Amino acid sequence: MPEQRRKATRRTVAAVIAVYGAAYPVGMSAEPMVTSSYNLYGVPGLLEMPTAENARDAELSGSFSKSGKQNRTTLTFQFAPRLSGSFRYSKIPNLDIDGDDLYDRSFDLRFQFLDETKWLPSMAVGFQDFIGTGIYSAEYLVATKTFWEDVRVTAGLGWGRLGTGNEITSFGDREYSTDSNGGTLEFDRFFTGPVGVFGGASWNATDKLTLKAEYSSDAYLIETEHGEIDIQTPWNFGAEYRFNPGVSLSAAYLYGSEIGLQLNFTLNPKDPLLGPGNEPAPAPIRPRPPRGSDPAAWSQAWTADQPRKQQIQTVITNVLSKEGIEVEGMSMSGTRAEIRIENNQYLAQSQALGRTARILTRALPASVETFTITQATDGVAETKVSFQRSDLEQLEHASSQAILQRAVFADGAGPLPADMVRTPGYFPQFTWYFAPYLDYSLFDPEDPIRADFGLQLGAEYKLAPGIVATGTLKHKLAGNIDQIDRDPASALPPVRTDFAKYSKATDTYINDLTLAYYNRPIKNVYGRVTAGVLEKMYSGVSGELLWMPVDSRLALGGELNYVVQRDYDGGFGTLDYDIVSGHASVYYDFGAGYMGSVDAGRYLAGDYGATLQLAREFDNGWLVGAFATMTDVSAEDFGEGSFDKGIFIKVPLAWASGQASRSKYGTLIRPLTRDGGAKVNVRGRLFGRVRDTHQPEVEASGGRFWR
Amino acid sequence: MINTLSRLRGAGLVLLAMTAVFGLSGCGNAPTKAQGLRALNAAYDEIRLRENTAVASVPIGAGANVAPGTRQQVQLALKSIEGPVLVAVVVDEDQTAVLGFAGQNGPYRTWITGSRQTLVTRNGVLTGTRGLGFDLMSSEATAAMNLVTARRSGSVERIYRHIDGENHEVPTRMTCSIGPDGAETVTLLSGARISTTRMRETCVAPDLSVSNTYWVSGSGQIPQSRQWVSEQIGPVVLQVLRH
Repeated sequence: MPEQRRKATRRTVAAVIAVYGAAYPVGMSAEPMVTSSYNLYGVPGLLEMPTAENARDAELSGSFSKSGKQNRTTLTFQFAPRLSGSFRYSKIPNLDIDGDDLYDRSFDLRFQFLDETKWLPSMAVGFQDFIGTGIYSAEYLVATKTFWEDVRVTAGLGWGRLGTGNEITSFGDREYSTDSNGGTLEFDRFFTGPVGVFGGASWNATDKLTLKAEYSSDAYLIETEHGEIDIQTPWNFGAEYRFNPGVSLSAAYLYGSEIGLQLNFTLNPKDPLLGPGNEPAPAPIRPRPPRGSDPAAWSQAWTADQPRKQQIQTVITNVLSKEGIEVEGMSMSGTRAEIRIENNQYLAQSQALGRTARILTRALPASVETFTITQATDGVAETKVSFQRSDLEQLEHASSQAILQRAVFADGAGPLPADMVRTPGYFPQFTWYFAPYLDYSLFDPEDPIRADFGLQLGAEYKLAPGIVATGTLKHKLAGNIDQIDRDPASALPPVRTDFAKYSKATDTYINDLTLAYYNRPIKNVYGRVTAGVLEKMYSGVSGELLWMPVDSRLALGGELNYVVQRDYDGGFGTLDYDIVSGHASVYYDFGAGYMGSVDAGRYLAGDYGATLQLAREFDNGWLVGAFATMTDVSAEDFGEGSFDKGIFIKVPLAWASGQASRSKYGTLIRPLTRDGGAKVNVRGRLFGRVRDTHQPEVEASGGRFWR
Repeated sequence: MINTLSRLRGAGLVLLAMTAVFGLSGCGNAPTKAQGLRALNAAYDEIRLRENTAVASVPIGAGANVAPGTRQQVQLALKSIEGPVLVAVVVDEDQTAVLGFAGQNGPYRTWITGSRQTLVTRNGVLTGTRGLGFDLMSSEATAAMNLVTARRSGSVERIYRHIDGENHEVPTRMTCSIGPDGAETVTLLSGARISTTRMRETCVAPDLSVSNTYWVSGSGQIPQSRQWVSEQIGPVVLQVLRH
């Protein structure tokens, strides 16, 4: 097909999407088409073919499937009601260059651009394996329509892998050869080459059982060439059984010769496992007697009574301590009280504020009308929130919005109020923990999951406000990360690819040992300096500034590091690689749970570039996001993967346990660890550290204020 | 103790998986470190407790059952607790609790169990719960309360507020029709007998319909009621044993 025609057809495809997209904009009142059924590629669909369906908004699925000889492990996240992203790790036998098994990582995106109406089907466009090495690369346009409530019929056009069978036309030639490095977005390739037609139907026979049949447009060209599969028919048949809303099992008979099996797990960050939390009830507000009926109670004589003031402060400090809220200090006058707290218990800062306010109404003399609660971390003030006591009394049984609308948020920066009485013995503070740890390394072709298991001893010593010494010592008991034998030739200094050498050299090592100083140089600005053993691979000094007003969705930051690569033996010794790295950052909260950031600067290997990060945040503390770093390192020098990218997930313990806790479990999945676009890991980066106490975050979880 | 961890049976497996993820935890005094196992253990214990609670029970009226022996416990509680006493039965769970008076803010009374769970009533109408998990955060029920205590018929607006899994307060605006439904003499767990008018309240929202029943005395008090808390918890039966 001539180039012109190819372009024209691609323009047509784009135009169709644009027209539908404009006619049915995202966010209109119609509902996206939702299913709980996933295909063997771990995305909503039939068996091997996709559909125009979506998972329920925010659903996260982990799918383990076997399609003939191929194993696929897929993580799919419904990022928005009509937009999903997937990461897949596959094992394709004997297909690599030397006849080895091919381990392939692929990313998918799918967008449902048209909602189903009475007459029109739901329609979606999808990009399969769009930045991988390309073995699964395909694009598709697909339509799905519901009939008789429980039957859905799908028809679609596929390009790339999905255009290898049932060819109806061709959009020019397609570059099929897989890119050895992978990782490059090849826009030129999208919607080119032969176009295959596919389709099928699914029938929800019962609530638990779905039966499926499909006509596949994947001819398994390369696999057939290698004699790995014997395609006898494009027809596939299968059934899916749902044990409960979170677990399903599918079996399929594929291509007249192969068996497909799949186990699929789903969960939704919007649904805490054990409900919104089983913490004990808060203390009720204690209203004051009316001034007219008991004028003596309203007297301000208590302000001159030092022992009484001290007793009030002690009671408040002790009661709040039982709630997991530590009081750093208080100041009291006839009509005002300020309390500085550190919340160690509640994930939602609003809940700590509510509980503190409740206790203040129970302990402070009636004349105190204004409460100011300053939220602090390690003795450094962040945001302060002021309440009128009359409002708290009046609105205890009203909506949480009502009280938050009357709350006044302000920056807590500045010197400690002169009359603030510190809690005796608040500094220094020593805490420690001893626990097992699990480190893992993913996607090594020899052994896709490697892990080290051991014990760690952690300690933290808060010497004075903002001055914190932290350290972690680790001892490996068992593991196989040290057996990684790949020496990926890198054109860059081995700033990250060296990681296995650290596991090889020693079982006992200092994971980190730092002295950090956090402060508030001026209003709206946070500062940090950290020095020492920063992480497993680097020692050095790191400085950071963050501008983040109390009510702002925008924050700006800058970080500058001088780091030296540590010796492999886990002690204080260093290698002869040192570098100045750092970046300027922009963080923006788009609202509705979407958050983005850009870091631009110099990375560990001396490369310059930027990291783009996009995440879906949930007000219960969940976070699911993806990042990509592009630097001036060429794809060839970078090596396999072409650029650094990955996905990250954070799960709050409170979500999983129903118990009040600030703990979160975070994981970051990088398809490949390379040396380009690498950053040093420093504890206590400011944005994540201070953000929770700011107005937008407090308000977002405001439903917990009266809890 | 009221124990209303609903919908938990399927959560066991996921909890086990989560233990694998979070469970790498040990000991220490650091507030946010190494607490995974402890928290998950606590969660697991609550599930076990829920599942193993005996269900042998006897009816007390208003469609609620209490465990045998509860009457004796209530008698004891009446002697040991000073001031007002409320008994609450979470109907779907057959769980009974005796609540003492925790405080009053204007017309709102807060009642508390020994394990720090609270109920809030306004002239006998339930307007809030805490510590039950899927709590009723608050309810705008003034108009409903006025009709019920006056034993009059009518239709009123009422707002129920709950908290969802994302820490958002979700208000449900309901239209409630209220009317008398005959006379009945109520026997309380304390043994007291009170002649009452039974008042029924049926509230509807687009996707939800709930009903409440109040037994209203001649003086406009509500010694017994059956009131809806949330979709997950269902109704509670309340008896005010001592005002």
